[in-house]
Amino acid sequence: MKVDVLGLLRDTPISRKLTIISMLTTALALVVSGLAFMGYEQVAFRGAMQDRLSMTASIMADNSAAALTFSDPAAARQTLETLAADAHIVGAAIYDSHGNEFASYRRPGAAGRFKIPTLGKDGQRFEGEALKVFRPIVLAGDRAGTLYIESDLQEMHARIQRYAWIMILVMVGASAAAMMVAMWLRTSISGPVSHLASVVETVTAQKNYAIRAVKSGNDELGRLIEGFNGMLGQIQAQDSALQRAHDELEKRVAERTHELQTEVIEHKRAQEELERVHRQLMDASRQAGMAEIATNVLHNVGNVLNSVNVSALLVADLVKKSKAMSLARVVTLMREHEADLNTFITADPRGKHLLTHLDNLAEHLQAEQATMITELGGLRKNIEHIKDIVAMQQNYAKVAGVKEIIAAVDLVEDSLRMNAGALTRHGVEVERDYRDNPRVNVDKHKVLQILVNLVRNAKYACDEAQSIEKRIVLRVQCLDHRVQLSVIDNGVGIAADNMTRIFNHGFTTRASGHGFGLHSGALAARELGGTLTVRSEGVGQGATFTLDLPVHHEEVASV
Amino acid sequence: MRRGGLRRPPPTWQTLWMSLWVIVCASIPAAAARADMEPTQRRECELKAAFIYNFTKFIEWPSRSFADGNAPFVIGIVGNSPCTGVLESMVEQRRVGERRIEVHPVRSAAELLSVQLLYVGAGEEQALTTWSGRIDSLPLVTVGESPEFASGGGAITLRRQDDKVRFEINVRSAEHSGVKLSSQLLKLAMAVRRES
Repeated sequence: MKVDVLGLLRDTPISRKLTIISMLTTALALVVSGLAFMGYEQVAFRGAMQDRLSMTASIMADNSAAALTFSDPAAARQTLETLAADAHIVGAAIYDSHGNEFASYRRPGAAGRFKIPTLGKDGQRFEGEALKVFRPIVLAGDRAGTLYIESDLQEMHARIQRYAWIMILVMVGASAAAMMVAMWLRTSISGPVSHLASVVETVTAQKNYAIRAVKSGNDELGRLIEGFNGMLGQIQAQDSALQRAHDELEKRVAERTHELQTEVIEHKRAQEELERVHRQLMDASRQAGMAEIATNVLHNVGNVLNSVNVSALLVADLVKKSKAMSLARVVTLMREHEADLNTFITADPRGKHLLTHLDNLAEHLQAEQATMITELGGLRKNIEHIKDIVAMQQNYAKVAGVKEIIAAVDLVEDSLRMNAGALTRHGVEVERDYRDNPRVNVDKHKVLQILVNLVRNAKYACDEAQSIEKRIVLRVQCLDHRVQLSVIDNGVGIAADNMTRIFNHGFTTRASGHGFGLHSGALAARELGGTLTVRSEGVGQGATFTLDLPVHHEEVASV
Repeated sequence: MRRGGLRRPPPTWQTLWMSLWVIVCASIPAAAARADMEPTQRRECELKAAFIYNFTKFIEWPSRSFADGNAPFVIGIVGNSPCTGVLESMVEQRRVGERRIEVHPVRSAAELLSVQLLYVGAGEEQALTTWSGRIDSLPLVTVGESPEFASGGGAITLRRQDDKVRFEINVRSAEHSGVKLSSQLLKLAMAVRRES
């Protein structure tokens, strides 16, 4: 299992971390140096052991040479037994020049561990747990035999073991020293760090940026603390600046809120005012509309009333000039002569004349009656028209007028008839130029209203021109499924400047005009699905007003 | 392998050496037979010769005992020893230090001048007494093999013990002649005496 040592260390407090690190470092250094030392020691000790054993073997060889030479195994053995002084030599042997065992030695208590080997090659070697040496015994240049010595490695092991113990002791001591160093470090490194950490915690918890950490030295930690304090100072400054800005902002927000509230109230008031004005305007406009309607009605009615007035005057004149009074004088004369009525009639010149007079009177009264009937018929028609106008205006806002299919020429004739008196009085010659007689599906009164207006305007235009020949041409013609009703006069004409505003409400060139007729006529034409246009060559050149209406669809089919 | 499945191990160096050794051992009695000697006598002579030669390894002679640097090492023999031949053949190829070894019979005191080691055969001990004055002044080591020799002032006396050859040393007679005996030699001696 892999242990994440650094991960484990990550959350350990720095003081413990320092202790662990210094102890680990010390231990590691000691282990490495100890192992190196032990390795070196082993190598060095092997060399030393070899040297020593070589020396021992040399002495032994010299000392045993005589015994070997003179074939005295006992003496040789005796010599070998001096090896007992070295506790690590487990055994030794002397071979004669033929390689036969001559004498041997075994360390007391090591009998089982040592077996005399057969003669081997000269030299030293480590074999297993032993250092073995075969040394020639040479005497005066002659090889007398061979000495064999075997040493165990107990000494080396013991030495290594001793070193291991020393190392452990040194490690314990060094660890203790390292711990003390770490504790010292704790005061000099982790102390300031802990202090810094606690200050950071306090600052974080209390949001108090006035707290400062205490600097303990001029090392990196000191600089860190200094930097931290500097940062705290900046934060404090920024915090207070922020607070000030915040306060300022709050104040401004409050002020602005107040302003806004005031503004809102004012706005509300203004709105109410506006609504009130609007309402007033609405009322005004409604009243204006009503006035317009009234104007319209009065205008149209006024037009008709002119004719009514003319007819009424005519009838009144007729009645005033009536011969009815002479009939009453005839009756009075006849009563005076009641007794001799017969005589009076036959004899009296006045009586004789009476019958002739009665005849004339009857004839005259008959003619008078016929005229009056005619005038009264026109009067009745005009009154009917007035009634229609009023009724139409009453329904003006509610429903569109009743449409009826009617011949365009009839409409034109009606409009002429309504203006007949005026035209006759002003001596305006009327020319009828009826090229087609299509039928249109329209609100008759609206069309009449427009046409009556146009005819009357034409008459005024002719009057103002004061020309000798006053003439109005009424033209009806079809053009591209449209019906064009034109009123053409040879009057004053229209200045180019006025052409564009001639249909505006309130525009008039006449002193007594309302400036309403053409305006309402144009509106009515639009309501009828048509247009009202004007054309004039200029002042004194006359004018042509054309009401353009759609042809009734059945007419369209038949045409 | 097919014969009973037994396997003969291949010859190793050890077995080769063993067989060689057997051949060498077998050749020794053959050589003895050539010298016309009893095998036991020859064996004894060989031992004695070996001892005499080996003594030279543990004894140091002063330089004055040689005429010059090239003078041979002389082993003098008093009387007719049966072992002379054996000794001669033994030291033939050997040397003491850089010196050749020669075996000379000694019949007069004058001949002692060039001798470094004097072997006195059994029954020749009176020569020792006769030449004692001369011998005492010369740096030579006397080797004998009888009790008379030892008591008569001989330096090294070969003795038989059981099956082995041992020796006794009279330090006094060795030292006054100016030669040095190795302590090892003394250690090996059966007995070390100090008498003149």
